[in-house]
Amino acid sequence: MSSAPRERGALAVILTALLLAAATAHAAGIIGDPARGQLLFVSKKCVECHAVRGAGGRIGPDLGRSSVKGSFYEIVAAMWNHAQTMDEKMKELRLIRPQFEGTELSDLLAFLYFLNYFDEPGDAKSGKSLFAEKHCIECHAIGKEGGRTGPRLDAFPRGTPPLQLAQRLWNHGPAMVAMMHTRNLEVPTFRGNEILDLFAYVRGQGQRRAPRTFKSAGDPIKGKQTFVSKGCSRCHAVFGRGGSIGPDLGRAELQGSVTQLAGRMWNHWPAMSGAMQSMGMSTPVFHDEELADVFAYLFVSRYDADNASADQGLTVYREKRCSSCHGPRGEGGIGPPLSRITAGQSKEEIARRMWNHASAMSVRMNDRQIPWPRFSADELAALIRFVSNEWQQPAARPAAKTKP
Amino acid sequence: MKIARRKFIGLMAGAAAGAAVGGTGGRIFADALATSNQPLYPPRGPEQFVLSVCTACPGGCGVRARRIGDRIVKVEGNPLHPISGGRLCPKGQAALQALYHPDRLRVPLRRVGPRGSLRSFRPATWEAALAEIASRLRSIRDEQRPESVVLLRGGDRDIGTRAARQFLAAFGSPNDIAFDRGNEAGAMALFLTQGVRATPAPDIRGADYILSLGSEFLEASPAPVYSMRAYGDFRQTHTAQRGKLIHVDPRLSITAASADEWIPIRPLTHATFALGIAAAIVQEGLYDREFVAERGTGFEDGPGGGLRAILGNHFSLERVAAESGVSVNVILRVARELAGARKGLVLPPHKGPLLGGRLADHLAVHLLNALIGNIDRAGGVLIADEVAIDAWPADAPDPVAAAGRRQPRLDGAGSESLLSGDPEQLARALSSREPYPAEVLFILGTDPLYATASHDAFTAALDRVPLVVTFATIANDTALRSDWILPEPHFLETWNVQTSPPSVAFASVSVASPAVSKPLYDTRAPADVFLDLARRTGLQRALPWQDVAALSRAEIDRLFEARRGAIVGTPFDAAWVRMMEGSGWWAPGYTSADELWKRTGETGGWWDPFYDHGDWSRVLRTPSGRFDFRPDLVQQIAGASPAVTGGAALILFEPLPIAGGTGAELPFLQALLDPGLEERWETWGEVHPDTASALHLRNGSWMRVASAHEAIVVRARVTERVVAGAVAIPVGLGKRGGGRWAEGVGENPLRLLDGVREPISSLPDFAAATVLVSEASPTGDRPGKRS
Repeated sequence: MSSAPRERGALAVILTALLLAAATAHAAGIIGDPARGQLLFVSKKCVECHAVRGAGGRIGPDLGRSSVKGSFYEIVAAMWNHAQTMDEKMKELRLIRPQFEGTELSDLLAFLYFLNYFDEPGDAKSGKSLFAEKHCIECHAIGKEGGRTGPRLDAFPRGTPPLQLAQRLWNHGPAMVAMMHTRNLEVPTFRGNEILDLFAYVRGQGQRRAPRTFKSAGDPIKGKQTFVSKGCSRCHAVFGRGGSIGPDLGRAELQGSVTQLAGRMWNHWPAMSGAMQSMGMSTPVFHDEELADVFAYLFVSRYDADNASADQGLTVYREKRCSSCHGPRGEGGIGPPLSRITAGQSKEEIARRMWNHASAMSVRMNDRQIPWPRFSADELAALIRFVSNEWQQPAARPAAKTKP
Repeated sequence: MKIARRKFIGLMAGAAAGAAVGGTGGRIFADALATSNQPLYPPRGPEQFVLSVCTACPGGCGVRARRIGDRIVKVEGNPLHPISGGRLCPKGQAALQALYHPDRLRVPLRRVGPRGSLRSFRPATWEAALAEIASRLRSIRDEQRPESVVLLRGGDRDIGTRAARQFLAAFGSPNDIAFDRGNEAGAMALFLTQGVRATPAPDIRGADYILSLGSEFLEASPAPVYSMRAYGDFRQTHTAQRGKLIHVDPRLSITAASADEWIPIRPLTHATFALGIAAAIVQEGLYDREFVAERGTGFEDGPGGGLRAILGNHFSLERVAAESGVSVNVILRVARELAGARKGLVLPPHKGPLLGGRLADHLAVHLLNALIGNIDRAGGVLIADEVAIDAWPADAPDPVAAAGRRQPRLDGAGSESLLSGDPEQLARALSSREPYPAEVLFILGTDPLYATASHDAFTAALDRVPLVVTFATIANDTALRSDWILPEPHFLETWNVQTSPPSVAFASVSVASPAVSKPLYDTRAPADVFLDLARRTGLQRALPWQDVAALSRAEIDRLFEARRGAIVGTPFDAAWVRMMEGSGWWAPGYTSADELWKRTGETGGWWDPFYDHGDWSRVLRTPSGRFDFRPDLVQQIAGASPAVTGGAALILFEPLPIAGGTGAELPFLQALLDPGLEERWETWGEVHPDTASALHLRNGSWMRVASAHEAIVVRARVTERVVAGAVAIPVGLGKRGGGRWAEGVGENPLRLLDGVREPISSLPDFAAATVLVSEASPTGDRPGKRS
């Protein structure tokens, strides 16, 4: 479960990440720099085996499309679990296994985490079909076809960023839903990539009025404020913080790219509308960058989410046989004493050290015919927390965690 | 130092060996190196790599110079640069010979004797040069005749030219005249059909079938290294299936030799052949009906009944076969292959930077591309987005400048004309002093006296201008007839900010910093000269920067404001940017103008690899907003007779080492003029064995090639590389200037031209000349001797 300090830590990392990607501000030396992570993805030879949405090697899974998504722990667990196979493949290809120094792993993880935020370009042809199937065409015109009730959708400048479209879609929801009910039309919902495809079609239809503009990612700090001020937090929690009428947005609701999130947000319109009416609230309307900011907030919130229980770490430490090399109390043995190495370290630093020792560890384990330990994200979270906290001197331990 | 030609040839082996070990040409440049205050050999000192941009041609390759001490010992492609991708052509490799060339201009030179000889010049200081030029400019402004200042420029992508153009605009002259033979016809075809003034950018990389109608894109494209890399992807990596290349041309060029099939064609029949292919595609219903119906106009209607009717009436397979000399079966097969290809692409005749081709050919090819739906799609004909720094922010001219800018251009070209520049018309205007006399002529980045189709007229014109100022690194033909020669630094000695070259579909900005601690000689970058002249003439408000370094930084600041694109990087980085921008996001990897400046210096530049296909409002700007199939012009083409009469057809081409009229000054390039025939250090003429037999020419003998205007003597090469009834001659040699290794070597076949212009474009028609070929007289005719 996420704690307040850990959330703030994650926010600091990924906030920086988003701001960096947004090209808004950067302070030298801050960890979790996805721009640097992108360079590391190339220089550490990850790109030799892995592609990102089609660009790169084809030996390993495409990291822009694979299941290697989710929180810090999910990504690190996936990296760790493939470490032994990767070693063998890299030897075969005569590539040097990557080792990470300083904040390098943290930067790389920020980049990989980041991949999920941005959408892939949708399929405009499919979007054209959806424009009719979802009944948009009944009210909106593009080119020579379509209704006149709503504004023309080819009036948007060509290349309008998807989140701007999403915000417009959301804001015109009350009028649109009422009109669709009047006409006995089904209010559209979006699954999978449908909203991406529909937006790809709409974005390609307008005239270009000015040089192309591109959207930067939102501001998570402002997003958190907007999440509260627009009343979202009265119904929704984010990892346990907030209302309980709607689903906790820190869970499965956050899967997918930012525009897919917008699609799911739109899908809950009928339920939300009814609930807000019963609570005497008006439907939120978003202005300027507000929707982008909210999504940025939601996105960074899940960075270091996990479901690990506090006492699970010791079990993992034993069951995965870490103790057979590092000692039951971290005092060391075949492997170095963790009580001196990992105690008090950040999760990024522990992950880095784990990764760097994986190659030597693999050799030892092979010699002793011990299978490579694989971790779920929660197991890894519990283990890292355990080896960071367990052997610290009591005075050095952080205060007991409390739920926010 | 004077080296006899034959002696020099013998020394070339030493030069090659020197280059191979990373030296600067063995001992061949010993004198030059000895005079450049450097220890002769080996160079000593710390090793360093510096990024720059090659300006040996318009291609704009990013390069990496290896420096030891203060000696540049090697130039190679910058691996991160999107144009060069780590590769470099022979011209770029020869940059060291240009840097350490013994005939480089070392100080400004003032002419004190008759025009045409370097002996007529005396050395001067920069202060003397700039004071005299500025004094003349101030007088002109005082007389309120700013239009009498003329800029004749070769390019528009470098920082020096942008500074010159800005100076001219602030001064108040409309006479900003481009000498851009290589891209004019293609740009015209694009403008006539799509309403856009730009150079078309064929997507070679994205195609899977290329029909090249005489496009020498592997040796003399506007960006040769980029074209070669794109060709490599086309053949090997980009598509699952190896791309197929068909080359149709009277001459077996390097491109033709690389093709899967060379189809010899009679001279002057490219347009007929292209329209014949188009007719066959239409006849068989293989054209892109959706594009034609939704985006086209003039296909079913217009003069002559529209394009479909004209093709049916005038371009029957039999007629096209009879005129082109290609069989009906071959034409039909190629038409079906092209239309059936997933991404077929047709390339127009383009022989090099000086020989961009005829409008009729480019138009016919562009219409053919449109018929197969090849406009603005991947693997088709694209149009690069403008780079933010290409156009300077509009200034508010003072009253004198505003009045001057309203005057007509001396060359009659510009916004109302199809031509973007007309140097031959400029020459006539300079000579006649009509509609008004020119007082000052700046010549930057071009050697018009060598490259013009009207040599005599241009020579006379220069005599009528009171002050001719030429920028050059080595005194070229034009410089020798100027009043001032201002020595330019070599590109490895100066700052530059270079935008993407013509024919490349993405926007890029390359940043070069000096690779040596200080220039070898007392040279100044053209941008510095114009910044200085602006200060001396009270125009510093328009050009307020102290020097070219400050101007470079200011341009990068403007680039940052555009909020698009990314630092150049690996293919993965490019794919990432494409994906992000395709989705509407911007993730550049820099957060401030300072960081952009720093990162471009570290990597070599910036670019925007994303292309927004199908943005019709951008690429179709005709009055109708549709692609205009121009039946009116196709009718004119149909009515023209392509037959060659009264002699042999003159086929001109530009070998890569001397393309664009530059390169002959470097021994390294003179030694590899033609890899097929192994020609060296002289001009040759290729004739078919049948033609040679009829004319009693022997391989290796001297032959006389005469037009009504001029005659030259070249070495006869009897070869089946060229069709019968024609003589093919390279352009690039036969210089009056260019230093000791260019002067008097070979012949300039452009002098055979007599100002014939293509009717529909008014472009000099380099393809229309016919010549009489005969065996040279054993005593009288030798290269360089004219009748």
